[in-house]
Amino acid sequence: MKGVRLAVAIMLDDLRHFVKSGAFAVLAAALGLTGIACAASLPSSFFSSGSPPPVAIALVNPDEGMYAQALHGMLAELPEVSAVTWCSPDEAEALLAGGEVSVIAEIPDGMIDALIQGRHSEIRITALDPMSGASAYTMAVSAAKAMNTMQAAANAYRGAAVRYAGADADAFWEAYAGYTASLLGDAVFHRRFVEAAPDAADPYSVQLVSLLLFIFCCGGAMYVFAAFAGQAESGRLRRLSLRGVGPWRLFFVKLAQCFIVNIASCLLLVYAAGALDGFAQTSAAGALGGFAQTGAAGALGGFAQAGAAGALGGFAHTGAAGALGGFAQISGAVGISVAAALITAAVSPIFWLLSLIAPTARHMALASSAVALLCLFTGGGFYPAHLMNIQILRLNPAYLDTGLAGWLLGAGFPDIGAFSCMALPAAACLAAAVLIRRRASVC
Amino acid sequence: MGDNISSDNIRIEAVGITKSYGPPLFAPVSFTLRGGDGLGLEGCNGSGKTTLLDIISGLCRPDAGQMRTHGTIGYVMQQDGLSGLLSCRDNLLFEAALCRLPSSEARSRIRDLAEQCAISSFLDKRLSRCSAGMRQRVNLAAALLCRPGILLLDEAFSPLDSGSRAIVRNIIASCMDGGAAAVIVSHDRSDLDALCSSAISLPDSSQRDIARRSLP
Repeated sequence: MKGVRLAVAIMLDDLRHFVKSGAFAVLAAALGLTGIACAASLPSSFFSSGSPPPVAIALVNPDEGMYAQALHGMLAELPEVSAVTWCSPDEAEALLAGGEVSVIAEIPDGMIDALIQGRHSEIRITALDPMSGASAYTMAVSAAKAMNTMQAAANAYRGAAVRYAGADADAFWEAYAGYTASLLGDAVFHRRFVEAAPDAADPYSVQLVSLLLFIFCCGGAMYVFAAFAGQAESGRLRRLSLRGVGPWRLFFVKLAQCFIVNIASCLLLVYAAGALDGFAQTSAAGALGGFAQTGAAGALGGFAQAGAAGALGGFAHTGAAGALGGFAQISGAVGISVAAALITAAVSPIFWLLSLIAPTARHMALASSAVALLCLFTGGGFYPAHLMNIQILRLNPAYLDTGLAGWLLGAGFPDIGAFSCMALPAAACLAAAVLIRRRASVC
Repeated sequence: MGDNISSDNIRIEAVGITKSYGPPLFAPVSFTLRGGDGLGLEGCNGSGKTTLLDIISGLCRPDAGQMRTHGTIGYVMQQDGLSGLLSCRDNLLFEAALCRLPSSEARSRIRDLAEQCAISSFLDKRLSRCSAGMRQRVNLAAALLCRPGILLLDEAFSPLDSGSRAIVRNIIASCMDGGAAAVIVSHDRSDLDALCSSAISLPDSSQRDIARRSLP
């Protein structure tokens, strides 16, 4: 019990130091700027529109049977969908690349049969940008409901066909009409279908929260170890050591502190994300949207978009959050907390090492900001720049991996300017940290 | 004191202590201190006085020899490890937490020590705004919080004016009267004469032998 009290005393001491030292200002500025960059990377429609605009979709459906026709009709009636083009996979890719459609919904061959027979099958959604991805999510849910209804109808049709040898298409439509309101079918099969479609996650909550989560986790670890550097600077570590709090014990106290800070901040973030969603619905957000339309915002947005996507790309390839694919499946505070804990475990040793090198808390804050920016901007910078260049953002993490392999094989080169924009702030930060450190050691 | 003291009241036993950072810092040092004893450490800069105090406190391991201590250690360090951002009271409260003192006891102890060390008037002042002498008295109060059986003072008198010096001497003397042993590093022989019964002079690197002498 006394050990816990001691740990709490150390944590409170850290907090007091952090708030009163210059490290707080440095970290607040770094995190604030990154947050602004993230917000600027959102499309203007996010701020100016409460609901996603209707999207044109390309429907790739090798199954040309009556079920597929029914699905086509249902999709066309959805308010989120402005037009449905039934085409081949190649045509769909061409339409997407040309911007004529925003989403490709690809129904695998034999999906209806698979569903009827109770086998796993899923629709693949490929979206042009996050906004259309959001619509694709809504669409996928609607499609899932439609498919479930159709599955129930198909079962009825199959039963009718067995009972009545002369049953034909009319029997199907009759059966379908009879099962349209099959709530039981929706409740049972809708869930299974959505779980089988990882692409259909809301892109904002996944991408933005992923990014902010990473930043917050870095921020938490940075704060803790900036305070540690301050303690080392003042000779406080000797005092702690004299009272039996040695380096390893202190490391575990700091690690526990990181977990607490990061998990708490990520829980706050979950609520903040909800507030952000709510804000996006308001007319006040329209003003921001208007600003986002201007050329002045263009430069910032262009830079931030590349940076934010870089972070997302880097994040997608880290094991810290169980990769973006796994993370996309995580919803709710518990999942976020687990991810935060994993990220903390991954980044804390880095900041611990930095804190051993940095001569003061402020140097530590500066150096750790540089590392965080390096992670954010250069970790996945090359690859998303490439993605931006070809104007296609695939939401499927598996596809991201494939794309990265393709890029490594020379399928495309990143834009040098975009890379410079991403790498320069990080390099500048690092250089400043080194210079200040050198100056401090000279003094 | 409530400390685990050996039957013959021995507080510190040092036998053949050596330390080297490359070349040996000092020749083997041996001494024994009982409760109420004061030992002065003299020597030029870099002769290993602080290192010897670190070895006594357990912050540093000797290369050879044995160091045994009996009792809680209060260490007035040169680099005090107090936070200039916090008030004197907060610094003392943190030290009390490190000493595992219950909060009620910590508060009353801080009150008593503040009176004793004449720091009551600026107890809630931020430490960075205190003068060197004031800060040193807070440093001493922090070292005394845990009712030390062994008091290590590393140039504790350096920043003090004559009035503060007298206060600090009195506090240390009363601690020693209460059964504490003190090891005092000072460049001012009058401090050692006032508080110590003997002194060890650590030679610089050009000399080999450690001189030990009795003080009046």
